[in-house]
Amino acid sequence: MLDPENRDFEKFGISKTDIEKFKVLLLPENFEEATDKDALYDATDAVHLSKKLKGQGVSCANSLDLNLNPKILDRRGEEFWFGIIYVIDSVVLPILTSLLAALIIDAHKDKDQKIVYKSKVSKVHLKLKLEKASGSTTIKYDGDPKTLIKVLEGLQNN
Amino acid sequence: MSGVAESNFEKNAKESFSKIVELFNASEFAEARNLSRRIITVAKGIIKNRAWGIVSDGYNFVLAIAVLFKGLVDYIDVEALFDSNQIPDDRKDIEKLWNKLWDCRERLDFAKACCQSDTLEFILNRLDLIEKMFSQKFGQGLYLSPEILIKCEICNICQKDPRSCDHVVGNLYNGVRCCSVVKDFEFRNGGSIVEYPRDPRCRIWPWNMDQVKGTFEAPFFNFFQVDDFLEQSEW
Repeated sequence: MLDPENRDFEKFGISKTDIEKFKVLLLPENFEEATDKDALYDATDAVHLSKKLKGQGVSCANSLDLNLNPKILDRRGEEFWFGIIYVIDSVVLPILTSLLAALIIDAHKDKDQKIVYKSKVSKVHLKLKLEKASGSTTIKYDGDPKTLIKVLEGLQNN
Repeated sequence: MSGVAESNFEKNAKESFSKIVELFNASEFAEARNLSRRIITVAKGIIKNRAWGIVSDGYNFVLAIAVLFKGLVDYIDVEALFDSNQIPDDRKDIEKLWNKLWDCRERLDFAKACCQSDTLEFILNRLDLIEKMFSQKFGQGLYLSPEILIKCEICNICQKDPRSCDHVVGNLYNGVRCCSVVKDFEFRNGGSIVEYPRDPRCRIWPWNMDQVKGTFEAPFFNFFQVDDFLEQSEW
């Protein structure tokens, strides 16, 4: 499990001060397992999510902002890969949930003007670490888009 | 945009679109193709000769219209291959129809943002029907899906690493559609066979499988972009 105090960050030269400037970190997918910078790789969809978060004014760091310069692993299947999403300040959880939902679920109106929700992809892969006053929560998710959004909404309500 | 051709472009495009709808209804596809190609040629000229110092939404509109009319040309190709409302017998034609179906859909989905029309909805529903017929005849299918480790890529708008810029892939910037340009990469772990690919053109057709040797042939990678024809002399 990621911890700002432990060597997951230290091993790549990232200090606690570097991290505390941000509310969300989008980390390389193999951040915990990799032993050196050259082995790191970003998940493709983390690049898009990072831009969306920044576009909404969320203080978000991607791997380049943390002075890592990993390669990008592009899997050309119809699945979404977001790598590790580290939520330092849970205040951003609602906006993160809505941006993720917009990326992975297509909402449109049918002929009767009812909103229809359709998954854009079959599966979503991510690891979410959420810091809260009451402690931290880690979720590794490899499943369908709709359930993921329900899980994230549940986290907000808690 | 200040020239006469450019200022008339929107008006010409709208009139041509209405005319093409009439031609479609009369099944005069050859004339519809010629008219579409004329609009695309004008659009290509405007985009090619755009003034780089001037930022204008007009160029984005021209690009979207060019993609729309190219989508209509794709649709005419689809109808030619889907003769008598049947999937063709010839294997090469089947593959060609499948690929054209996706070229057409992706272009018209993109163009829908600037052009709401019953005709577009009709065409997209027609593509759904053809896809359904493929599914009934050949099943969901299997597809080749490579894993690519990108060592270096740049944003085509600002030439920077896409992770360090604000440009969003797929958005239009002064007549240019944003995309990431891969400069250096390696294939990783070969490729996977998947049921739900990102690119349906990488389909493994049964006749391209050798059951005895246990091998198959299929497109590994496709460089299709909705606006790729803008850079091509032959399209």
